[in-house]
Amino acid sequence: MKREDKAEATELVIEQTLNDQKAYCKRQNDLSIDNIIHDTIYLEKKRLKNKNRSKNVRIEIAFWGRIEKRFYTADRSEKEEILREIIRNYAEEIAGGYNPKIYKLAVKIVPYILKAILVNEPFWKLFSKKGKDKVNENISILGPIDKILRLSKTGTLIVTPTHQSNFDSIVMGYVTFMTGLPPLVYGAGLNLFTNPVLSYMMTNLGAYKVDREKKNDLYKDVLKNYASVSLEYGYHNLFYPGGTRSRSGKLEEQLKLGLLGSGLSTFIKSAKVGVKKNIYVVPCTINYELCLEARDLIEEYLIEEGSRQFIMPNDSSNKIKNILSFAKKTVNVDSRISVCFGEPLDIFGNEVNEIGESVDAHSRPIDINKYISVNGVPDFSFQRDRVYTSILGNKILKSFLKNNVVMDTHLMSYALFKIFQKKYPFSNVYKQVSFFGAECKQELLLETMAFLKEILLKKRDNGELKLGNVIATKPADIIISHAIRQLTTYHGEGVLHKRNDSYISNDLITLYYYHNKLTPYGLEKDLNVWLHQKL
Amino acid sequence: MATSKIVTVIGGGSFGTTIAYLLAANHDKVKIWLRDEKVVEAINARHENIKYTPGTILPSVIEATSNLEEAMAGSSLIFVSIPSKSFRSVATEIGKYVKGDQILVTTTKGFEQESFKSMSTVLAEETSCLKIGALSGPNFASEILEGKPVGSVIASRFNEVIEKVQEALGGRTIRIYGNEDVCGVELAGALKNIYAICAGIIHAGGFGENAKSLMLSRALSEMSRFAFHFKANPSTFLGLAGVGDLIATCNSELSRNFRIGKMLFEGMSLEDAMAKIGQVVEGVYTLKNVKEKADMLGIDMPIVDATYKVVYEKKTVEMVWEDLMSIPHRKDIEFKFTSTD
Repeated sequence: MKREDKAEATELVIEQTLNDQKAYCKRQNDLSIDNIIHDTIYLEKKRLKNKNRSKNVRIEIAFWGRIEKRFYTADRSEKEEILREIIRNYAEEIAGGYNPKIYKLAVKIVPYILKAILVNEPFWKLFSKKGKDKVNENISILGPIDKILRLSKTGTLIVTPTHQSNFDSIVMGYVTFMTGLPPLVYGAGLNLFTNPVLSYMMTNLGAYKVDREKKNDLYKDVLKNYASVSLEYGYHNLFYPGGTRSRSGKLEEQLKLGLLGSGLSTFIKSAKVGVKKNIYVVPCTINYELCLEARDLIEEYLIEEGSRQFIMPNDSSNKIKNILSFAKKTVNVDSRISVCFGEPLDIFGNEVNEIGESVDAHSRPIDINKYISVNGVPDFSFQRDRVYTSILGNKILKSFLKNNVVMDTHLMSYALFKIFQKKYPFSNVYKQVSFFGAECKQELLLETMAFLKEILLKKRDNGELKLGNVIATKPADIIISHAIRQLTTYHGEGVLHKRNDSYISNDLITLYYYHNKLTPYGLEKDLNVWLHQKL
Repeated sequence: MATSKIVTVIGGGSFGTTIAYLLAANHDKVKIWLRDEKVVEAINARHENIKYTPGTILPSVIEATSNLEEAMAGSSLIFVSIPSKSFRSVATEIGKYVKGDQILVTTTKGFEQESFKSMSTVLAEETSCLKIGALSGPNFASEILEGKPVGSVIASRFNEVIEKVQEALGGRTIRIYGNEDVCGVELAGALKNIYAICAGIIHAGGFGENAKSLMLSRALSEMSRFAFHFKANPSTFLGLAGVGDLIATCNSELSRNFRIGKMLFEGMSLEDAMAKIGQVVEGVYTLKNVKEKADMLGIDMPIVDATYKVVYEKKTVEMVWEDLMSIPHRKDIEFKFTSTD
């Protein structure tokens, strides 16, 4: 957000959040705002209790101490002031800046820095043709880019990518610069603001701060309102609707509706003052042949979902050193990244045509103002608007499915994991993944891959999913050798190694992670019948 | 309670006509759309649907038309009572005339054959309307038209839809309950038709009331297993759209599905039985859909299997009954509620 907009926008966020909280109290049978303040103080003190006493933490502790002391002696009107002060505290912490001069400079320099990270070349080499080709080979950008660019000129975009890796933000940054998309306002983890140089850049490039440790509803409402107000000001937004990175490697199955609803809030607010605000939601999938933190994520998932105890490793994927090391390894094996944009949607989940009109399945235009009419005038309706946002969420999930790019590592992991499940049956997946020394004949894997590839090609032709280049164009044996090279270079030979005419895996956990990318497509039944004949 | 709003019913079969009849008590004008010009003329001139509800005099506020655009003009609440087979094509036409702010309510109990999609899903796909609901429950048209007491369920994710339908239909003889679980209510309404066919077979075969109770209670387990796969709320099956509709449909000659079960046991072919009934028997199509889906998803549904064998594979009732009775003993309560079951 530009400096000149920041102060006014912050005041708007505070007012909107206060109104939301009052409306919430009213909906809850005139609940007192005492409960909101009390819950917030309790959760904040709990959060701060075990934190290292850094300068910032000491300031926070002092703040909450003062608030608590005032709260217990305050009368009704002062309590509202206290609530306002808490909201202001959050809003000022979240608010990001945006400096067009720095952005313009970044537009020139950052693509090369990002290229340097992504292809692990000194960035001066990237000015050469060879350097450019290498980036183009490794990162593919698919989807209706021209249409999205056109819509960005007549409306405000909300880009909603899938979220698998901390690498996603770098990839999206690169894609934004390379496609010519306008700057996107986005929430970035507080940890990225600890380095003063990085913090300066982040703030001036449009990032706002998101503290994921703050779990209270008031904070989440301020965040939502920050996004909503930034949309009102016409800033294009990016947020991950899944909330956090997918732990399982699966595509998102459920979305967080809070932030997603900010588009609708802005739309209604504008309509109430007679302004038609065009807001377009652009789902997109980010797909990796190799995922930076695959192993850590899947272990977290198994611990959360499973009944077995796993040793939780530290998630070290935030460290720049690790990102660089990942980039180096992936580039060495020509690892591909694919970003696939879906058809833009309106805030109710309808598709929009080339000129930005909402249309139904038969391309008939829709007047979306009709959706928000209450007794003939545009207005908010809490329950209705939640359902609308949930409908939008479902449409985004459908777009994710259609634009999910299946790559060689996913296909091979799927084939192997299903073979191992059939060959070494366990009562649940948590026991299955702990199996050591799983063996699969080379011939069987080859045939299974060819069998699955045929099904996937049909699904691709029906528009049910997308296929990576290697799967789409190469025979099964090449797909296997490419996938093995990828997986073993990054995850080690434990994932898969060859012994005589068989493949051995001592790491079904990693295979399970990559296999999960293919689980929503109903391949299991046909594959099981086929494997039944083979095994 | 009279309101000045216009409401519309798309479909002039027996249930569509019955819905129009109920709406007439609360509205100044009820427009009903149907294709058959003779019936349109009869409703407008003589206030009688001569084809589907002969003998019942309809209130004069009901106006029939065969022009869909005219039927929907000015209406903010539209009920769609079209057989599942032609539902999508009519829904596509409806899509031409809605503006997005109307409420659409399906009263059809069945799935689309090729896609296994529910009728509310078809409405959502074919029109720009988002506020969609599904009406279900034990609602025999003839009893409603006789003024006998009845209860229905309106399912919608939108409170507004539930409230508007309660206001539009509610009256001295009808109670309308709300439910958020659209998928569960539509599944319950469609699935019970299969068990009604089975109940008709049991009844005609003289297997007795114990056997019918056995079938009904096991049917609930089957339905909950099926619903679980579609993320419906299995508790919905304990309500009016589930148990309520099962009790009514599986015990009454008024049910077309029950009657077709009887006719099949008595040796009539499926085609002849359907021709004799003369109206759409949704359960026959639903049975085929559900059998295919359950096989594909690996859902254990022995009663659906057995009914399918009798209806479509011409197996004798004795043969499939013996199969059913030889299934290994199981737990009494197998009602599936959550993923941890």
